[in-house]
Amino acid sequence: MAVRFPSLDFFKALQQRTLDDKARFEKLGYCDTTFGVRIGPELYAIAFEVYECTGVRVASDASELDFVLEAPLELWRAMVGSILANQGADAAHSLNTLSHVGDRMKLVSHDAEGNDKFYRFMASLQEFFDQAHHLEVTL
Amino acid sequence: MSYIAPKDYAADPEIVAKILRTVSGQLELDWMKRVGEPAAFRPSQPKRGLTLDDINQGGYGPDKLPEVIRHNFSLAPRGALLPPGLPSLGYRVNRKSDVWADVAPRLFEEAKSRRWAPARDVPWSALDATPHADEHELALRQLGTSLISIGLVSCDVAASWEWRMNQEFHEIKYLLCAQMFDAARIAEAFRKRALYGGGSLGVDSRPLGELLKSIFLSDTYPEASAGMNLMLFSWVQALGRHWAATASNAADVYLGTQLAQDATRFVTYGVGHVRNHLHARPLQAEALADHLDMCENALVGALGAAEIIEPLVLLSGGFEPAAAFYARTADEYFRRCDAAGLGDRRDASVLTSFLRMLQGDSR
Amino acid sequence: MSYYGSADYRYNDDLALRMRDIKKGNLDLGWMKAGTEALKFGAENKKRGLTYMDLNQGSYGYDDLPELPRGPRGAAPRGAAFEIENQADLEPELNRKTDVWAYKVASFTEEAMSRQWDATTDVPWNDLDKYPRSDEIEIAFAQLCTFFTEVELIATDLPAKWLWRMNNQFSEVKHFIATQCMDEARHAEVFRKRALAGGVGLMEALPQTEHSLKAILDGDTYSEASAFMHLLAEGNVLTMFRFSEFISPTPVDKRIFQLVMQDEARHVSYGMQHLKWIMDHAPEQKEQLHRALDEGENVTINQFDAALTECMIVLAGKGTKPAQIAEGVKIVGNMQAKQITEYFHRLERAGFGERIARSKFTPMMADLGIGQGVKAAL
Repeated sequence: MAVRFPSLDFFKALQQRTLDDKARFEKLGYCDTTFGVRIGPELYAIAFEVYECTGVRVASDASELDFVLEAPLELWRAMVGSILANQGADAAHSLNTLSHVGDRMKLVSHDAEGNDKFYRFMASLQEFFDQAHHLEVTL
Repeated sequence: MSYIAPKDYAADPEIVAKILRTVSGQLELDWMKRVGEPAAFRPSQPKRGLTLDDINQGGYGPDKLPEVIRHNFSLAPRGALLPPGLPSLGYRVNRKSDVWADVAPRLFEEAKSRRWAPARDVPWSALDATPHADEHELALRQLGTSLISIGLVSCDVAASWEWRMNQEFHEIKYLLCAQMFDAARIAEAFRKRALYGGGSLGVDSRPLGELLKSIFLSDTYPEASAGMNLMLFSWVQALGRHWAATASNAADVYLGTQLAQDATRFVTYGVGHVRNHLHARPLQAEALADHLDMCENALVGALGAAEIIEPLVLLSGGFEPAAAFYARTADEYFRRCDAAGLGDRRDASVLTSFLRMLQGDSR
Repeated sequence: MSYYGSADYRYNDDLALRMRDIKKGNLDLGWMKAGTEALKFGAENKKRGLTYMDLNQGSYGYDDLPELPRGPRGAAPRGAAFEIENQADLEPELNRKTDVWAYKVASFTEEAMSRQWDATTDVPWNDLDKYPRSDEIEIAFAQLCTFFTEVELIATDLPAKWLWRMNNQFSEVKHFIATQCMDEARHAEVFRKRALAGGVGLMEALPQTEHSLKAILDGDTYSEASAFMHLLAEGNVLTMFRFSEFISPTPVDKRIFQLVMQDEARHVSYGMQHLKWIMDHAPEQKEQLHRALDEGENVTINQFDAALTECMIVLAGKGTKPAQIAEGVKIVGNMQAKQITEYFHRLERAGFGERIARSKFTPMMADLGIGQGVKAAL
C-alpha cells in the first residue's frame, strides 16, 4: 500500500522497517534520541531507543526534542526522491550533506548534547530514512 | 624492577606450609563470611542489555563517591570490601571533579555498541569505481595523513592519563580505554584510506604537531580534556562531516560519517566533564580559559598551515566554502564552550581574529 | 600547560599574508610534492578486507622498519614526509624496535579489531535466574569475580602506562596495545557486572594478589613488564579462564569465560612473540629478563591467597563438604600444575627455555610433590 510523503503514515511505515530490518539497525549499535523532523509547517517527533524506532507522532512543542531537522518541503522531497531512485540517499542528498553544506537543512537544538546526538547517531538516522526505498511512496 | 616483594616467597616455609594445608583439604573459608552489599541487578531494558547505569546503584554507584578519594588507592573495585594491607598503586588523579561526567558510562556503552572495523566495514572497492582528479585525491590523502597524526596522539593523551586515575573512577577509565581504541581506529582507517589504490602519504604538519604536543603535555587532566575532547575533537567531528559531505563514493561517505560519530563521543564527554569540573570548582575557570587560549593559538597555527587549509580549499570547491566551514565549526565550538560553563569565548579568542583574517578584515 | 608552541598567531603577519594569498587563489601546494612513495595497495583477501598486512610495503611497511628508526620523534605517520629539524618532538622514550615489537603484531591487531564483543548484550544476563545456585557457590563465584576485576584493572593500567611512551613509528604495536586496553576494560566490566548480578555483590579485595599486580605496574622497562604481565600473569589468567569455564556454575558464566579467554589468548600470544623478537634480535637482554621474571615469579607465588585458592576449590568441588573439598583440591591442583607447564611451554616457544631451570616455580613444585607432574608434562 502506498504511503504519501510527507505524512504520519510515512514515518510509521519507517518505524516498522526498523523492526523488519532489525539486524541492520542492531549492527549500527545503540541509537537513543527523540528528534524532530520539520517539513514546512509540520513537525514530526521520532523516538529511537536502543536499536529501533519506538514511536512517531505529530508534535507541537520542539522543546522536548533533542534536536530538530528543519527544511522546506521541496528539499525533503528531493531527499526522499534520491532515496527512492538510488536505494538510499546519494551523497548530495544525505542528512549530513544537506545539513552541512549551505545550511539548507537546519539543525536546531537547545543544548549541546542534543545537538551532538545528531552526529552520534547519524548513521542510524540515515539508515532510517534510507529504508523508504522498501516502501511504495507517493511524493 | 621498582617494586620488590618484602620476602623471597619461594624460600618461605610459611608459604609451602600454607599450600600444603590447603591441598590437604584444610580450608579456612572465613572469606565466605566477609560479604559486602548484596546485589542482583538486571537489565532495566532487556533489549539494551545490562548496562553500567543498571549496576550503578547503592554503594556500587558513583553518586556516593566523595569529591576527594582518600580511602582507596588500590585495585579494589568500587564497592568491594577493603581489607588492611592493600598496596597503593600510586594513582595521581583522585578528585571526582577532575574526571567525572554523568554521561560517561553511557558513552562507553555506546562506543562498544557502535563499533566498526575499518578492514571490512569500509567499502574500499568503492574507491576504484570513481577515481578522483589527481588534485582532489592528493588533498584527501594529505588530510588523511593529518588525521593519522591526530589519531596517534589522541590515543597517547588518553593513555597517559588513564593509568594515573584512581580505580574508583572506573567508568572514566573504561571510557578512556574506548577513546584509545577509537583514536587508534581513526589512525588505522585514514592510513588505509591514504594508501588504498595507488596511494601515498603526505607531509607531516609541524603546526599540527605543535597543537597535538600542546594538548599531550597538558599539566592536568581537566586541561588535557578541554584541549582534546572539547576543542580538538570539535574540529575532528566537523572534518568528518565535511569529508562525508564532499565525498563522491561510498567509502568516503562511510569514513566521514564514522569519524564524525566517534569524534562526537569525545566532544560530548568533554562538554560534560568541563561543565561538571567548573560546577564543582568554579575557581578553575580562569586556569581552563587560559589553557584554552594557548590551545586555540596552536589550533590557529594548524588551521592556517598550507597542508591543512589548502586541501580543504580544494575539497570544498574554493576558499569561501572552506572559510565558511571554519567559521561554522568555530561557532559550534564556542557554543560548546559556553555550554561547558566557560562563557562566551568569542571576543577574546585568537580563533576569532583568525576568522576575521579569512574574511579579509585585518583587525 | 607545559608546551606553548613556537609562534603567537594573534598578531602574525606571515599568517595574514598567506591567508590573503590563498584567498586570491595563490596556493602554495608544496604538500602535493611530498615525495613519498606511491605504491599499489589493495585487499589481498576480500573476505578479510584491507588489513595492515596489505599495507606492509616499502617505506610504509613494518618489515623494513629498522631497529633504530632515526629521526622521527613526532606525530608523523610512518612513510609520511617530515623534516627532522622541523617536527614537534613528542619525546618518546621507546625508540628501538626491540623495545616493543612482536612477530605477527599486525595480524593480532586486525584480529582484535574484528573480534570485539560487548558484555552488555553478548551475555544473557536474564538467564541467570534460570539456574539456581546455592549461597556458597554464588559467594565463591562472587569472590572469583572480585579477583578477576582486580586483575583486569591492572591490565588496562599497564599497557596504557607504556603506550604513550612509544615512538609513533611503531603504530601497529601502539594500536595493539590500545585494543588490549579496550579488551581489559571490557573484562573488568563483565566481571563487575557478573558479581553484581548474582545476588551476593563484590567480596573482599585480595592484598596478596594486589601486591603482585603492583609489581607488574612498576616494571622498569616495557619488555620486563610485558614478560611479567603478558607471559606470566596473563598466561596464568588464561589457564584460570579455561578452568573457570569448566567449573562455571551456569551456562551464562561459561559464556563469559568463552568470551574473555579469546582476548586473553591474544594478549599472551603478543607477549610470547615480543619475547621471541627480543631473543632473536637482542639476546643480550636475557639476563635482565631473567631478573625481572625471578621477581615476577616470586610475587606470583605469594598470590596463593587463601580466598582465591579456596573459592576455586569450592567451585570446582561444587561445595564445602569434605568430599566436595577433596574433589575441588584435585581439580585446582591440576589447574595450578597446568599454569606452570603452560608457562614453561610458552617460554620454550619464545626461545627462552633456559628460564625453566632457573624458575622459582620448579623447586617449589618439587617441594609440593607436583614437580614430577610438571616435569612429565614437559
